[in-house]
Amino acid sequence: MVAGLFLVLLPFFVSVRDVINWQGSVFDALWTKRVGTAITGSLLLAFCTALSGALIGVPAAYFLARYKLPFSKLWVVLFTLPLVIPSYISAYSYLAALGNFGFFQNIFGFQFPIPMTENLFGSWLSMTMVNFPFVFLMTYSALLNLPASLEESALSLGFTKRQIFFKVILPNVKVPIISGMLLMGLYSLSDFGTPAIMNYRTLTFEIFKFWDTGRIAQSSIFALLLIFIAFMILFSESLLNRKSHFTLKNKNCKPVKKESLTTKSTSAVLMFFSSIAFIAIALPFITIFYWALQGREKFQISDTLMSATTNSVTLALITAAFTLVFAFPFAWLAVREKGILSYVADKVSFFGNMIPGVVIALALVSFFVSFRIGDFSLYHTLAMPILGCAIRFLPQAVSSLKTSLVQLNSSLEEAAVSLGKSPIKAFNSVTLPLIKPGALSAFALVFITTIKELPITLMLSPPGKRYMTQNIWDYIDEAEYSRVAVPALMLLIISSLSLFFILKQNKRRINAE
Amino acid sequence: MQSDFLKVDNFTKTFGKFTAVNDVSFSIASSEAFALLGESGCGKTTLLRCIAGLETGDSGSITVNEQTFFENKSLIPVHKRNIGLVFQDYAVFPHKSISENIIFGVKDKSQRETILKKMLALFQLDDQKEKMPDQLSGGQLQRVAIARTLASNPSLILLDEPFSNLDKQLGVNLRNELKKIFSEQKLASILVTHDQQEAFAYADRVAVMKSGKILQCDTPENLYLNPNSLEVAEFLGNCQLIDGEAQGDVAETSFGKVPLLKSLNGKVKIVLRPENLSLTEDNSSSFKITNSLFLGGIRELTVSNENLSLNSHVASFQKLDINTSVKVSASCPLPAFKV
Repeated sequence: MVAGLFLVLLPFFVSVRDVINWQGSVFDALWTKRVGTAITGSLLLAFCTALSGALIGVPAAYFLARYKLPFSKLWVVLFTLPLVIPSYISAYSYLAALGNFGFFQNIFGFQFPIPMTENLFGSWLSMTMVNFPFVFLMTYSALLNLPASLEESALSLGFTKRQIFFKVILPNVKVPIISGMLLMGLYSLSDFGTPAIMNYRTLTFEIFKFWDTGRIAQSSIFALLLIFIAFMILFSESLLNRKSHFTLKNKNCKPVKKESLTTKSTSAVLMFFSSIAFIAIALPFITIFYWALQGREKFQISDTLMSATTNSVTLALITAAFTLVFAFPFAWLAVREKGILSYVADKVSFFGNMIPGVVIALALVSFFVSFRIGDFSLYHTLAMPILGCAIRFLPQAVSSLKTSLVQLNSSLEEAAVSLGKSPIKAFNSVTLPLIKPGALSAFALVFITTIKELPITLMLSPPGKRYMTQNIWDYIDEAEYSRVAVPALMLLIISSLSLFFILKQNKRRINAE
Repeated sequence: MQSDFLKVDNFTKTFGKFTAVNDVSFSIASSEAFALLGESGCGKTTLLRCIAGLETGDSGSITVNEQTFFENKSLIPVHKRNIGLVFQDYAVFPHKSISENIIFGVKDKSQRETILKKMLALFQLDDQKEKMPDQLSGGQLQRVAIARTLASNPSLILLDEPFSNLDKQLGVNLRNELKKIFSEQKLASILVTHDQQEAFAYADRVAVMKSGKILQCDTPENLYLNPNSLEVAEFLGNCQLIDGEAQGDVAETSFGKVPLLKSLNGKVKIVLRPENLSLTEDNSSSFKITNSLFLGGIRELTVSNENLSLNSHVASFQKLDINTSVKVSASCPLPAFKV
């Protein structure tokens, strides 16, 4: 637990240390145009993404939750599916579709009117399409949980459907909508792959660039700025949830009955749905398939690809096991104990989410480059990416374990003890088998997210070891669209599995409530 | 008083193959307190929702105050029907304060202050007006919900099991209070409930529903004392059925002659409720007291012979020891039905 806490907070302390130890003036370093551009770039991206996410996610959720529409289940799946696309693959696919010499230009013979790189557009498009499911899913489940009687009594009090939407529904799902938007903002802010591919200057991109050129201290200044903004976002999210009055839960409440729309309105809604599905899912997949076909002559299963795959899988397996060991005490304390330790354990995911991958990678480099016990140094070993990914994905593992622990009533163990088992035996024979499914899905979740993780593998890989993400990254960097396609498809297949676990977790969380 | 303020005629509502409300007709007078009584799934809530306009029926008609709401299709949408609805789960808007909730449906802004004051006083909510719903108890929330409904000046109030989430005594108090308020305001209301006592205590008339049909619609007294069918008698509870051979106003049973409410001939089933069975000590009788339960206000005695076992309710001070031989007789004319 202490070691885990140390790990989670390490990036923060290292960044602070590097800035303090730096010879230059922090003030001067902050007061440059480069900082201004990066902060504006990050905030603009976060804000626009959150806003457009809400403009897509909220109406989609409303229509699906309140009206009878053809293929409604399919739409829900389609609007969740973008979550499986790693952001850098999404960015690559939009670039390869609409960018210079992209799919669009190849087919239509002229360039897409809006340039993708070096401006907000490309990053915004990609981040919106990958992350709008957060707003969609949160709003959708809030709408389904809203008791029918609220809307029905407003109807009987003489209000029209439109008035009810603004006066009753929207105020009651405001909190999940804003939470979803903040989450979108946070992910856009901490994403590294997308702005890097689109060559759009954000804090994460600058951190990487400074690191790449060996200026760790400057990089750390940007890292601290990023942590600060992320903290503000997460803090406002928790404030928001505390202040909400959304607690009137009632066992007897009936869900809202879906209504039919006129044919005209139905077609309008379906047009909207199909355009979203086309841009968010069809376009990336078509593009990747197109380039995969284009490059099929050049493609061969090379030794580099094979060894990169083996390396990625090995890394992910070790990381998943390692993370689970650290996650267990956190989850246990947060669920079972009371007091300060439990509070800290509960907040660990808060800090974990706050620190983006690039910052973790940066801090680990900076810390372990000089940290050694005797002659032994972890720097340039496999331990680096493992530690990095463990820090990054600890919150995921903790929350997955927590859901299964919450469901596990402590009276079960008490019953076992009262039947004459020792506490250790009771734990082994009752608790352990019952949390096994939760632990397995936490393991799988960390495994999959580690395989997809870009900045940490990119920055922390030991010399000579290459991972799948690095292969993809290099090809994107060289603008070899066709050579990215096959490994990208492979990663997409792997990450599709994560959707299965996300949905499984959601289902369990709902059952637990 | 308008005798058919609400008129439901040959009304039917189906969900796919399931007929929830089956050719139902009834009417209620203005300012009448009416109750729909039945077990869950009998169609009473569906009927209520159809009157409110939340569900659309298949056929028949619904008229309120000479305005036709429904005639084979919905003619007036929910939000224009001006019908108050009170739900089991209160449906108080969680994002609005108590005051805001109460005046939510008051369209005339100049009236809001006056109406709010009146409602706060009427439902004793003055101390709660600034609070948010999550700070109130269930009983208070239901008062808010009813105040909100009343504030919008509805022509008819529909109550869907409004007391079933409340503690028993709290529910009883609120029920009595509502009955008083509605009758003072001369408001017609329909209470949907599965609780016979609640329906009897609240309503001027009660309709007993089963499988989508109204079995009987009458005053509580008539329903209980003079049910029109065995089904109604059995539903209203405490029903012991005795076989008998009727000859006009009396029937011969295994424990002697009993008087009947209606003249019948031939084999009958007689409804004998425990309170209608009187016991007198008689050593020559084959009936003996086999069990005695003290229930507070009353005592429930079980009397049995080799063929029959009956329950009798007597005043709790009336003490009869177990194994005492007693003569069994009916204390009033009983309802009976031909087999």
